[in-house]
Amino acid sequence: MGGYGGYAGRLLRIDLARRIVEQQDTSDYLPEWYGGRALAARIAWDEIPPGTGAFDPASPLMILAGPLAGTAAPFSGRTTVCGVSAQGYPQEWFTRSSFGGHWASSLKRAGFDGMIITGRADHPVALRIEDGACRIEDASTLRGLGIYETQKRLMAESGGAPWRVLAIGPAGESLSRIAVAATETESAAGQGGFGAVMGSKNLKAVAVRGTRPVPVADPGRFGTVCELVRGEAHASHGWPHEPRLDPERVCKYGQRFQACTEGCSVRCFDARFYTTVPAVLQKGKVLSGQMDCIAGLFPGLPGSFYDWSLGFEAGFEVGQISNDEGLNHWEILVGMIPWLRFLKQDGEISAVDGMEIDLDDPAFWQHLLTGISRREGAMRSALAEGTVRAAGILGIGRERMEQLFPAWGYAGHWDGHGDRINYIFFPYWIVSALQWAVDTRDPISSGHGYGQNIMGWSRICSPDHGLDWDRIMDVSSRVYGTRRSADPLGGYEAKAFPAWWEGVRSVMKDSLPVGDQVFPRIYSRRTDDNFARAGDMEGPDFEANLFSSLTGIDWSTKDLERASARVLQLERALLVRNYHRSRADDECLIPYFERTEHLVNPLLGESAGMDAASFRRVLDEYYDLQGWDGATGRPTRRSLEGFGLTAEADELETRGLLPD
Amino acid sequence: MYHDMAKKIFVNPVPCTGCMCCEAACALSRAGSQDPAASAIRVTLDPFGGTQRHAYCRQCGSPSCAAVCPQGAIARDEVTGAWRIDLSLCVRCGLCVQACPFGAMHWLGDGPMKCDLCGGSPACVRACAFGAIRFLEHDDPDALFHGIPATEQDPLLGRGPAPAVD
Repeated sequence: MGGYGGYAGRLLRIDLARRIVEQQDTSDYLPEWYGGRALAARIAWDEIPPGTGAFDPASPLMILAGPLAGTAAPFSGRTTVCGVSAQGYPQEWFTRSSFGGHWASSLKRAGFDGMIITGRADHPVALRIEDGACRIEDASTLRGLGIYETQKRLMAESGGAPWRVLAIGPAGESLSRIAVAATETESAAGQGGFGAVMGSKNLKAVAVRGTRPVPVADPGRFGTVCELVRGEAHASHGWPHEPRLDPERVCKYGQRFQACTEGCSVRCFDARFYTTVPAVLQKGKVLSGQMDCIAGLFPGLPGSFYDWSLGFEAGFEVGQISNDEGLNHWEILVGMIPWLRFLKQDGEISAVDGMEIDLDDPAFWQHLLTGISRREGAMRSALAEGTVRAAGILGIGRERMEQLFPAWGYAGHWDGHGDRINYIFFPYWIVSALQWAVDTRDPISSGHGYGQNIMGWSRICSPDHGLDWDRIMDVSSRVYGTRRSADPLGGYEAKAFPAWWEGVRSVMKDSLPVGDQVFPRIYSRRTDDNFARAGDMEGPDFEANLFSSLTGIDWSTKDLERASARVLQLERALLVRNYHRSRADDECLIPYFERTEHLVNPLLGESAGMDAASFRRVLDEYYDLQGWDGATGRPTRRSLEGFGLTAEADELETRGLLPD
Repeated sequence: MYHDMAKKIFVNPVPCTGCMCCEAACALSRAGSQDPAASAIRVTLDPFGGTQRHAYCRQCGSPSCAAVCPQGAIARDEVTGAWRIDLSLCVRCGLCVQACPFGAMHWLGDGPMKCDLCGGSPACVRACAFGAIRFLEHDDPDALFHGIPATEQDPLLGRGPAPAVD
């Protein structure tokens, strides 16, 4: 192991076709590929050849817990899932997702930092991983079961620590491209379609538990850093104020705060558990479960763009059905449902597979969701491919779809256009657009740091606790190098650096891991100048301090940022080698952003759309920061060799994919 | 000299979110590693019911663990008031682990293990961001809920928002 703390020390290599389980030392990849997404990038380059589809048996599915997972590090409980994505569009390409719950710590205690799964079992199987061993079990009796029941059955094996189970539902089994892999009641690797990838391998579930300790290099310093970071991080979303429960729902439905992810030490705007919700469709039943994040939209928001009105009880029940079937909430609520509603308004369709579209009727939602997950009816079977592909298959609503989906098969997110839940206006969504342009999926999963922080700290979103624009610019200049990056009148100026920096931080979050809704720590209400600090650490240094005191790998923030920037280079090289990714691909989302935003920057007084020429200049600046070729958007020998990726540069050159 | 007003740990499950930071901090403090078996506080989660149960040492006035110990190896720490195990006297009979009615005595390695209040500054208390674990002299409800927003208190205890009447 080389004496590193934080790592369980072993990786599982599981071939489901040949029923072979092997183990590999994690240290083969350390310290450069330091965990989670970083480790996955290395393996992907080495082991995913061009032409590998999401459902190819040889396509490796990687489920990885980073070094901080399973330790006292706050906000460290997520697990990263990587592989060739079923949801990716126009190509099934390599990407990532992640899920919370209490699974990652159990995997580490079982003695593993992650697993690389290949092959397709000839019948449904489940993995049981415990204290240094992994066995492949028959899961035929679990076929067709929902995610909840699957977990309960696998958790029923008593004795020892509790099992934590990652499972797929009927949607994953039917290879729906919007199928999730999930644990507990609502912690899912939602985007990416990795539930379908598991389904394609006939892998119904992965159960983990263990009793093994994870070493800590410097327990005294690590404990101190954990306490300081936990003490400073005072609210979720990087925002100034704490959320509160709803007194009526506390009394009526047993609403309470429940961590969606182990290690989370803040009350969250998104994570709520309900213990007593009367079912509407399943009369007489009382439901319990988590209702997190975008699932809060299931009941509808009358008066808004999402103006259906299921009401809380029916909305909660529909959300639980979606969880149990194993479907992607973001896709459904921000993409598919608005798209169907547009089509109904436009007179293109009035029903889905024989049932009238009535978004106020929970029976319609049940018909839609269970039909998608089980591929019943021609329309729902097409929707199981995801909205973007469904528009093509069904030959309807393409223009409407393009108003909701910026790129890569994913519905809008903090982009000021398709996503109307999150409040962001010009010029801040220019950074979002850059993040979207160079990614392979919705980038906001681990990329909330810029737009969400600025908007949340503005007096527009936080009239009682927010900061004036001058203070926001002062604080943000500490990380982005100039006040113009956060200037509400800054236009296209100084937007490339925040996109690059947040990209690097995104790798960090997916690799250590630390929670995206809290990190990076930039703004604070605990300091006079509102720049986050704790002890002798500045906010952006928290990650490196946690990592180095835990692992004993003596990396500063600059070292950790460099290792993460290396991951961005390798991911881009992989995209070029395997999928011929180019600048033309990156620019495909310009028409989406050229439409007028749905909000107004009050300092400008009018809504804006993207100016293509200005955005292309920002993209030039971004490529310059990465050292990529401006004409093709591809890594250069210099950019790759700057990170020691000489062999990768050679391979791109051999394939004629290295810019001159 | 220890007296009955010494502080001890009280857990209020109402504001607990199941983040498990208390377990991890305890293990780190006691073992210098993230050994789940080294944590003296144990949280059992029901992910489908949304509840947590906490097994932790109450530092009882007349503890069963000390009463059953044939060696008298469990005694009060005069400074902190914590009941501590003197492993040099312990014969590893395991009776104390069986006797604890709170499931707060554990077997770790080759001997019993229990909460020693971290010498007077419990790591679990410091790790709990929600005020669910407190270091108090009494389990006075006012102290247990001090600083916790009304909506996060428990209507069934007559605290927090009034139950809805349909």
